[in-house]
Amino acid sequence: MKNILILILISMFVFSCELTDAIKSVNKMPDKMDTLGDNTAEMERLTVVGKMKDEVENEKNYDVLAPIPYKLIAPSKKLAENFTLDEAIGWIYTRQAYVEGANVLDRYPDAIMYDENGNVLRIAPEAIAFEENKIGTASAISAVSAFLPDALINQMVERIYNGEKDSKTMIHILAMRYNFISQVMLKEKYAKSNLTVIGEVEEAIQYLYKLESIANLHFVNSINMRTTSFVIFQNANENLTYGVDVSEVHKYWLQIADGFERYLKVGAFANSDAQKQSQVVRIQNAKVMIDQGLARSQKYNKLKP
Amino acid sequence: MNQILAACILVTGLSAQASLLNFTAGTKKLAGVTLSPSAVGSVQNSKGAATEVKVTLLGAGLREKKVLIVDAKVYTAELFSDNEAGFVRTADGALTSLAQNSNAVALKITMLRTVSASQLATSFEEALQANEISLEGEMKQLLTIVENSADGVSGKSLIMLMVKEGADATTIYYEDTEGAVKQFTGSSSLINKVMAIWLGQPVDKGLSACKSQLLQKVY
Repeated sequence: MKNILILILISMFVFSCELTDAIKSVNKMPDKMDTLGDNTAEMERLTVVGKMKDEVENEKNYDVLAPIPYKLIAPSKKLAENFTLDEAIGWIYTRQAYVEGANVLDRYPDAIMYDENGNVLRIAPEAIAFEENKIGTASAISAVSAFLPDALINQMVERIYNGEKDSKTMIHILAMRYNFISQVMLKEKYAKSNLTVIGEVEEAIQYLYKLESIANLHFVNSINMRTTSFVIFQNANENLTYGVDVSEVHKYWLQIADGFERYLKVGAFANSDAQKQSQVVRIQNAKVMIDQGLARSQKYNKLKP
Repeated sequence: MNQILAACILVTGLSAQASLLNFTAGTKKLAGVTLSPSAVGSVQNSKGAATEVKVTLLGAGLREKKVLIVDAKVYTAELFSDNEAGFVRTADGALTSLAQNSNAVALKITMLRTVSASQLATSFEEALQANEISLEGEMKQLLTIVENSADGVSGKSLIMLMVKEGADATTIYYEDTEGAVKQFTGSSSLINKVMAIWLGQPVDKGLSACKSQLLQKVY
């Protein structure tokens, strides 16, 4: 009888311990669910990054690079939005190193045939493809630099201020970001004649804010790019060697102001008075931002008397 | 009767869109565009009188525009005048000599990529601004015509023909890529102002290269 009682007591103790563990375990479940959720989100992000990297590195997307690199825009934007800062810096560094470091004559020493007077007779097609791929790569890293979220750019600037590693790459990223937004987004995509609806005006303003934030950096004169590695397409060396022309900030505010006055149509596609009224409010807000931008950017205007 | 009427209407419509100039066939090409050695045409001046125009090719240039890294081919420009001998083939002398010594000047632009009419107008506007030419008055009139005309469709041509009317006036005829012609009469300095886009202070590296090519004799 005594033994039976001891057995019952032990069973009750073990059961109560298990129950306690079970209760503790249930209490911990939300944390575990959170971790699981975080891991799933991270897996999804890494999948997107992987897929988008494949797209922007794929030379089939390099066949149209001007006036807008149409096939690169969407994957570059998606990639930039999903990159962490360190991933972005690492990827851009390696691709930029390829553009600047890979020399076609190392890969194809006899690619260019000359006559006795030194005139080019023939260039091997594979050598042309090699340099075209480098031009496509340079376009891709410029596009990704342009689309990196402002929060990442701010962190990058802080790292530059603090003299952190990879500062040179981060300065190149700022140069490419400025150049791409200026030459592709504002000069082409949001050219004044394209500012026909308020959404386009708002987007152009947002891109111009990004330019302005770079132009305002105290080390803006040190933000530049230099490329010397193109042998066949030598004009690419010139086109990939640039600094930041801060006068463009005022020029683009003038462009947006002009497009706003001449091309913007209020509620052209609106289906109701409420929609039209909503657009009127947005237009008024945009007008304020444009006027402020014009006034603010006077300091960059080379033509200012 | 209805068919005859319809045919008459059709012919009238077509003649209204007949080409300003008839270009002779050439043997040389630039960026795939055959360059015409000369052109002839007949236009009505501001007083309604017919004016015969005969012009000779002075030079031809390729307009490229840098976008990011790539130099994109935009159009070929063929420059004609009725006074080839009076054209000074130097960077500084070309514009003034062309404007002073020619009675008729034509520019044929053959598009190598499609550019919207408003973008064309904007690009001309930027080049005029670079030359400090006022965008008001007659230049505004021209830019409005360009902007309200057909788009610059790849493979098609547009023509600007400028003919002096005495010492004080010049009539400009603008034929878009669909063959529609619009015209107005402006000041005697119209040739100088318009041609500053191509022969004046170049707005970018692409127009600078185009200008250098326009100064070279083709035939």
